Amino acid sequence: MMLWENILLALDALRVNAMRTLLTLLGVVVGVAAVISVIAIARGGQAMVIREVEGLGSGMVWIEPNLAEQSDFTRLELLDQRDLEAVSLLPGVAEASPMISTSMPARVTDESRDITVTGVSAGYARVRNLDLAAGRYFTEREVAAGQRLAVVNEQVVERLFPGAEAGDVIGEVLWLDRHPFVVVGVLESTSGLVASVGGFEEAQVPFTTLSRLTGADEFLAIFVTPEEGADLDRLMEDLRAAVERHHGPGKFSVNSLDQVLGAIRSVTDIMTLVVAGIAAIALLVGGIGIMNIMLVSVTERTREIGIRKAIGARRADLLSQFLVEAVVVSSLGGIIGILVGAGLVALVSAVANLPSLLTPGSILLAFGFAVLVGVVFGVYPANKAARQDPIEALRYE
Amino acid sequence: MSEAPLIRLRGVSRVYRTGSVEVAALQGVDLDVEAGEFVAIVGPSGSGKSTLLHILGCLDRPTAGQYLLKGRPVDGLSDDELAVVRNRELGFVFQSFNLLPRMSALRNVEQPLIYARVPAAERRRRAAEALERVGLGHRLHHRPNELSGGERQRVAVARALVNNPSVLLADEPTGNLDTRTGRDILALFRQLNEAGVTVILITHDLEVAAEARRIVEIRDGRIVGERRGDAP
Repeated sequence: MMLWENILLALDALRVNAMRTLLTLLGVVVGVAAVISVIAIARGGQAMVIREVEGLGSGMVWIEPNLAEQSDFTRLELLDQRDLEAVSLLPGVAEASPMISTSMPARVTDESRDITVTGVSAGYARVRNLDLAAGRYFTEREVAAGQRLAVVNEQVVERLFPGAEAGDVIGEVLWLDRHPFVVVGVLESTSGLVASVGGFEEAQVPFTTLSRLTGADEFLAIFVTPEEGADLDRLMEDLRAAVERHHGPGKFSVNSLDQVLGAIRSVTDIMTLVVAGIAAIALLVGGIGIMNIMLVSVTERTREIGIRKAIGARRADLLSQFLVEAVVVSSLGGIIGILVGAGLVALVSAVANLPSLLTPGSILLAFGFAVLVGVVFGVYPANKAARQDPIEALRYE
Repeated sequence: MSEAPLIRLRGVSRVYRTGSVEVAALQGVDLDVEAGEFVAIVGPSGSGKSTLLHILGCLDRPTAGQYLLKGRPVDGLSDDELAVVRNRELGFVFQSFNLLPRMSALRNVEQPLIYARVPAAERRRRAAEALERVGLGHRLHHRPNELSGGERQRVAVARALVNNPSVLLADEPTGNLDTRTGRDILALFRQLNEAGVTVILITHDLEVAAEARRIVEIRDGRIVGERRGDAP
């Protein structure tokens, strides 16, 4: 009963000074809108980055030289056939695919340019989630036989087969150094941010063929697809043990995409928190505005306070009247701020093509914070009202 | 004496201290008011009559002496307990009406009942009744600035009466009214008194005081005399 009375009184008081109320509200509106939109946009960006990284091969695990330990690049110890066999035999490994990487001059007609040539096994396409725009990937048998087949990416098509579509280059000959390769497939271009940063020309060929041509029989990395439901931590431990049996401890690291995702998440979470914290300062400033106006209001209404005391208002009655007034201001600001923030998020996600993630949690958080600001900054003025001496207050002109 | 009077002051003093200077606004005041009386307290400005009203109205505490209201001491009560006493036992009428400007007459009269935790529907009924009683049944939804001075003071009287107090305390209630309207308000007080309401009226105007049945004169913080008024 009392609360409802106080809300009515507060709305009354706020209506009398509509302009003043509006300006006071504005501080809270800006703060709440900023908090909400920052959190939503940051979450949207995070989701986008995570989706991209997952596109690199979900659940993928790989072994690569630990560059922190092996700092001398000229004597870099790499992985070899023994490691590949040991890894393939481990329980929980569905597929293991080695990778050799080198750079070679490539040409189709006269013009030659250096491109990345990656030697891989037939399973590499599956392990790395690669899709084909045209043609096919080479088979295990072709890898075992060391055939001269190549799967190229779209950048290669663009640069070396000017004007050709992906489908047109299947069956064409691509010269790598002095060796002719038949193009059997074209990789689908990944439109994502991460892939487009890579943007270099690449031809993938059977690793057997590449190591025979270059004399290199060591691998830069081994990519592993875990079996469905395998214990990832256990598997990574086994992989490390298998590699260390041949090379000794510390020279290679075992990584998983899950770890990378976790790192991205924690970094973006911290960034979100920092920016939201800065936005929350705006809300705090809004709270100071509320306190300022409430102090003015208490002074202006000294007479009213005296009258209320004379007719029997207790301290708690006046305290709650003015506290409710402050909270009504901050809550109204909160509600308007949520609407403005939601609009802002919709606008940004439409313009920047980000997924918008306006969660009920962040809305509730911002609203709760706004109400809290009202309480915190309303207590002092309300207490000042409640403690007035009734006789002094009645005399106030 | 068998029964305690409604109000009993014994040796009540009120000393104001400003720095090292002490000013005694009241000095050893003894006063008994029985239920149903119509008392005027009269004195020139600075005589201490306002201080006396504040003490009677539980807005202030005596620095010495005792105040019994309905036989119970009120000088030891806390601020919140005094607020409850003001709400239940006392009704104030001020010289400058002291209505809340943004509210209708009805809402103004309802306010004391809000603090008495009376439910909304009953509150409205009782406030309307109180306004009927002071002759403003046709002005329930007017705001103070839409009412004449006399009507405003009637709203204030209705607000003072709405919680059925033991005493109606009026501080120069005709001070802001013209002579005729002032007379009407005094007639209202007399009428309420005849219906059983105890009225204590404070004024500097002997003509106004004469409306009471009993006149108490105060000067320099002491009661200096007492006589019967014109009222029957």
